[in-house]
Amino acid sequence: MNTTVIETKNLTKYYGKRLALDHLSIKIPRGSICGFLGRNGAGKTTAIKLMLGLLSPTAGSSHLLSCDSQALTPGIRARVGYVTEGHRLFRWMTIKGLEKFQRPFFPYQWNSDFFAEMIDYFGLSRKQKIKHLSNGQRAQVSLALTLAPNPELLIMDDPTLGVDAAIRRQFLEGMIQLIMKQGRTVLFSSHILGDVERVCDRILVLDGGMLRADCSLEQFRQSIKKVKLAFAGMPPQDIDIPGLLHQRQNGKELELVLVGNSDEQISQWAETHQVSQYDTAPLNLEDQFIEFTAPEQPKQLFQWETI
Amino acid sequence: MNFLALLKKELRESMPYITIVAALLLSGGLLCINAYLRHRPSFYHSIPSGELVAMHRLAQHFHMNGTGILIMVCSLVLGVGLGILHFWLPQLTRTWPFLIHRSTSKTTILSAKLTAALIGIPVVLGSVWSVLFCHACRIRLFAPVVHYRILYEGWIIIGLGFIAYLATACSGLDTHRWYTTRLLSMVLALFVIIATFSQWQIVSAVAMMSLGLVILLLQTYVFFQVKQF
Repeated sequence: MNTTVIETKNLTKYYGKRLALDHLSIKIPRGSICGFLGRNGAGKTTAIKLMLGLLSPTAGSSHLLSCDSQALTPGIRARVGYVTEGHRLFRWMTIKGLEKFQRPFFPYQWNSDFFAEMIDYFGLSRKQKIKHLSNGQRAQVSLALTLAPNPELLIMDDPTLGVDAAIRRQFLEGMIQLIMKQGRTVLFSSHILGDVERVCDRILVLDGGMLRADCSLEQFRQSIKKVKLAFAGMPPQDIDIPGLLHQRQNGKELELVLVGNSDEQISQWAETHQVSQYDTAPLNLEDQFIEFTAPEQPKQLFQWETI
Repeated sequence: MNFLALLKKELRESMPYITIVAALLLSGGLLCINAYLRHRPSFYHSIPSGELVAMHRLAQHFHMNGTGILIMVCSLVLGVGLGILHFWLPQLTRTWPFLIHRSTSKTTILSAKLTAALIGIPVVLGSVWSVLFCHACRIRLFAPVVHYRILYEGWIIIGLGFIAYLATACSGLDTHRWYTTRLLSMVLALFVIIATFSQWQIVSAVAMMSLGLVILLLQTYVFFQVKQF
C-alpha cells in the first residue's frame, strides 16, 4: 500500500502573468494531519484546487491517492472529502435535501446514522434551508456532508473562515473526534493558527506561492526564535548570523528573529560580538508565523505622525 | 443513479422558470388565437397552392398572428435564462467546486444540465405549442385546410431557444475575455437564428439549426471539460 496520499512535483500555476503557485513539491503521508498555512493570497486555495483537479497546472504534476489529479476517476473522488472555501452549498436545498442529493454518489459508503449524529451534535434541524443558516452552521453541514461517506483523505479549504470562536471550537472538536476515531489523512488550510496548533501534527507554509516550510509542528515551534541582545556600545550594523529573518534596533538593544539556530549557535555569536546580555523571548505560533512570513520591510498602513 | 440525482437537482432549480414561461406561452397563445378568430385575415388563403413562405415572414404574417412572436420570445428568453442559471450562476455563487468534486464524471454533470434544458425548452415549450396548435385546429382556425407547416415552424422557433441556451452556456464556460472567444458563441447563435429564419423551406431551416446545434454542443462539451473550476 502506497504510504503517500498527496504528492506534488514542481506544481506551478500562473493566472495570466501573475504567479500564484511556484514549484510546489510536497509529499503527505497517510495518517498525517497537515496544516496548510499562508497569508491571504499565498496560494493555498490554488494548490488545493490543483490537487483536486479543479484547476489545471501551468507546469508540474500532482497525484492524489496515486492518481493524477488531472485525471481523477469518480472512484478516487469518492475516497476524497473536500470542504470548499466558504462552504458554498446549494442555498435552496434543506439539510435533508442535501443529504438526499449527496447519498447516491456514495452508494456503499454513505453513513446516514453518522450524518444524523453530526447534525444533532451541531444542534441543527434537518428541515432548515441552507440559505437560512449562518456561516458557522453552513460550515457544520459542510463538514457532516464531507465526513458521512467516510473519506480516506479529507481536504479542507479554510473551513473555519468567518466562523465565530465557539462554533470554531465545536467544529474542530468534531473533527478531532472523528480523526482520532477513524485515522484519516487530513490537509487543512487555515490562517487561524490556534486551530492548526490544536489539530495538526505537520505544517506546510506557503508564502507568495512558494513553499517556505514543510516540517512537523514541533520542529517549526522550535525553529523560530526571538532573541533580545543588549550591547555595551552600539550594536553592529551588519548582522551576519545565519537564519536571520528580521532585526529591530532600539538604542543599544537589538531584537533578532532567527530561524533554524540552536541555542549554542546563538550563544557563540553573542560571545564573539560583545553582547553584554541576551535573552530568548517566547513566541507563540501566531507570532512565529507572522515573523516567518512578514516581508523584510513591512509597509506601514498609516503614518500616525502626519495625523 | 448519479445522473438521476443530478437531473433532479437541475430540474428542481429550473422548473420554476420553465413553468412561468410555459404558462405565459399558453395563456398568451390562447389570447392571440382567440383574438385572431375575431379578425380572420386570410394570409395563407391568399398564397397560391404550393408556394413556400419564408420563415422570417412568419413573425409578420403568421396564420396565428402574434403567437409566432410569442413563441420566439418565450423560447429565446427561456434558453438564455436557463443558460445563465446552469452555467453562470454556479460561477457567481461559487458552487462549482462542490458540484464538480463528486464521484461522477464531468460528462454526467453536463449531461444532467443539458437534459434539464432539453426537457424545459423543446419538450415543455414544444408540448405547449402543440396544445395551442391543436386548440387552433379544434376551433377551425385553419379551415378548410390545416397548415401543418405552422406547427413545424413553431417547433423550429422553439429549437432556436435551445441554440440560445447553448450559446449562453458556452459564453459562461469560456474564461477568456469578452472581446475574444467569449462572444463568439453568441455571435454564432445569432448567425444561426438569422440564417434559420432566412430559409424558405422547412428542411433547410432544420438543417441550418441542426448544424448550429452540433457546433454549439461540441463547443459546450469541450469548454466544460477544460474549464477551471
